[in-house]
Amino acid sequence: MRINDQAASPSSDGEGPPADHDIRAWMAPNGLVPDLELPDVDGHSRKLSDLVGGDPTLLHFYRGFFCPKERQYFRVLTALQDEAEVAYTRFVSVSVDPPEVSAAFRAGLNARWTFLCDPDRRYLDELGLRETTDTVHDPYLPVCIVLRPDLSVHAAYQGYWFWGRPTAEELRQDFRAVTRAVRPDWDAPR
Amino acid sequence: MTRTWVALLPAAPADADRATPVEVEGEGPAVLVTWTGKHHPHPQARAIDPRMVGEDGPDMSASWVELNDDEQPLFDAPEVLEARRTLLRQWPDYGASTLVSDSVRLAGSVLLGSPGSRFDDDPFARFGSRKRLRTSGMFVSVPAPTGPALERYAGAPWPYDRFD
Repeated sequence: MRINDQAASPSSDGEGPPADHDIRAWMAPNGLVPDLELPDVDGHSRKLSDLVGGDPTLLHFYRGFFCPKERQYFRVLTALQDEAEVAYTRFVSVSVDPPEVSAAFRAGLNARWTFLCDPDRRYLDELGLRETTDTVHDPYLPVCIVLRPDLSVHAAYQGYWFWGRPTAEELRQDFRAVTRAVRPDWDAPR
Repeated sequence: MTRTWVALLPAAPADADRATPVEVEGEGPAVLVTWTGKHHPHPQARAIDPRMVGEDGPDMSASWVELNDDEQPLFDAPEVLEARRTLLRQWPDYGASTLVSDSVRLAGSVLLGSPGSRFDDDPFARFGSRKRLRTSGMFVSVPAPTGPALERYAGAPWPYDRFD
């Protein structure tokens, strides 16, 4: 479910997703995502702006390897990577798992994109994405953000409940819209 | 479009921008030569991801695959795509680049690692003869591309990832 849609939804009763006021302004359409800087699975420090480069990008926050919903959702993304690999489109996944855990998880998924690691929870509160109901793992809320190359938000989806996450088809539509907006030759040159 | 070109040669040509000595396993000394410019500067020159060439790079081992004209597969051939996917799964310690001499074919590759790396699983070694090099100063470390994108950007050697 897109964040804009959620803003019109009834607020949570405590059992469900976080209340609307937990959704930070940066996640609204055209909001700017902070230029995160975190290690990848090889331990290299990476800046989000470098990773995004000039392409439409999915910024995907997930709880961690332990969550079955995440493992299921990664199946959606690993299927979609076969299209993204030929579409000048990038994925970046972020969790609190340390690099060695993320490296093993990534390899097991057969994922071919960058995983960033925030085991120190550096950005949990800055981004407003701390999942307060999991006091064991203290993870990120599951959130998918489709970014433009300038790190502005085209669409954001909050996936505390699994069905809030974007389907592959919704991501295709978002990538199409961003690509159309950022490629001056979207209409093929004549 | 300006490219960074590299060649592995017995001696440096006079017009080279830089030349760095290397040790080729089983063969002995040679030089890695670079040029910058729009035009193909030497018959053996190949365009490389420009981010890999820098100043004061550390000691490295390299896996160098150079394909003759009659060995070069299409860059988008399924087996070349699979080799790129393999690198995205497991990026070498110090980086990698395909080598190209035109916008259509694969002309080679270079994988970089810490001294002693053997690159026994270099996914590009299947395309032609491979040499193992020891070098210092020429190449700098480049982290893995974001992925999963695999396409060349405006004919640049993958994984260079900008249209500029």
